[in-house]
Amino acid sequence: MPCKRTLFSLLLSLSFVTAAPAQNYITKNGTISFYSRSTLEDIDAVNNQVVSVLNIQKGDIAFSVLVKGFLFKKALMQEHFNEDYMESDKYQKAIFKGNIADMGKVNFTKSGIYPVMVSGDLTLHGVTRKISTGGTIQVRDSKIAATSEFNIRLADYNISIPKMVEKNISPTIRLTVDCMYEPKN
Amino acid sequence: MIFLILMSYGPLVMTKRTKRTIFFSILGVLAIVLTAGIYLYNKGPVCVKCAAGKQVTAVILYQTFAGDSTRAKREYTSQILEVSGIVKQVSQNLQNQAIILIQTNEPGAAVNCTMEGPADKIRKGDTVALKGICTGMDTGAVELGIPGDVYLTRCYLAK
Repeated sequence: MPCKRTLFSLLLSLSFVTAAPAQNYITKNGTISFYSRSTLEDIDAVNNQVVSVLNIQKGDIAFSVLVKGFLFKKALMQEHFNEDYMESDKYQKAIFKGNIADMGKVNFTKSGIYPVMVSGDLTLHGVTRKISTGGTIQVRDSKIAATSEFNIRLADYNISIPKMVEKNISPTIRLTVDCMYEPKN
Repeated sequence: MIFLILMSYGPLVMTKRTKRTIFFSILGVLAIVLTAGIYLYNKGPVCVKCAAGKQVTAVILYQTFAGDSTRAKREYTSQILEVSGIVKQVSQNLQNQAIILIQTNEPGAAVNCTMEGPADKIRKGDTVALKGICTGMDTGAVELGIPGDVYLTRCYLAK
């Protein structure tokens, strides 16, 4: 009888272990796009190779993206972006490491869209700056999606635009992040 | 330029016909330069589908990036590669593009290919050769024991 009781307790504890939700969620194919609107032309590019990790217990969130993975509609724009502005051979990655302050508002057992505030360090073109922005966490089945839109000033990251093309590129760029995570077991 | 050359011969009396020829020659050169400039400015991305890719296996590609990143960047980054190997996983990204993971020798790591061409015939376990532009290797999430992938973008099924 004691043996049966021990076995029952063991199975019960095991069932709790397996039913516990994952703390870390990951994607290796998230999306970051950017948009520049200026008087002469609009420029946009997309990167679908974003690595991101989200810890739903601590609210820690990190993104990493290879700069060369941004795709443009025009080859010349992509070439200038990599060689002249982002210097992607030298600064290969853009990285964000931050925290979702109001993670407690998100109910991960109930499907829905939850607005959150994110703050952290964005490293771009070898320059790290603190940023703070709004975003949403969407809970759907066992998956979690995170989205955010925010602006950055190119001058803040030592990205200089030559006078000749300054009317073609906006000094402020709109960034959109869109990631669908899966649990990391 | 043409004007200067003509002037170097001393004062010339140009006929109306000569003047017209010079005018239209300059106009023609300007038109060619302008057309070339507009073409280069609006030129789309390189045609991955029509280009020949440098052949390499997924295992070798990954090993090179993991072991000698300087050599890997020199040989593979920004190049069109034709990477062969066994399909580990087929999924879709948020833009509904197919994502094909090709196996490497490192557990949890893959050559991560975002498809531009059709991928409806590609299944897990298939041996494939995918052609695409190599964008480099990410470091993954070291603290969680998740190795980085080597990335290929704008991929097409080569074999």
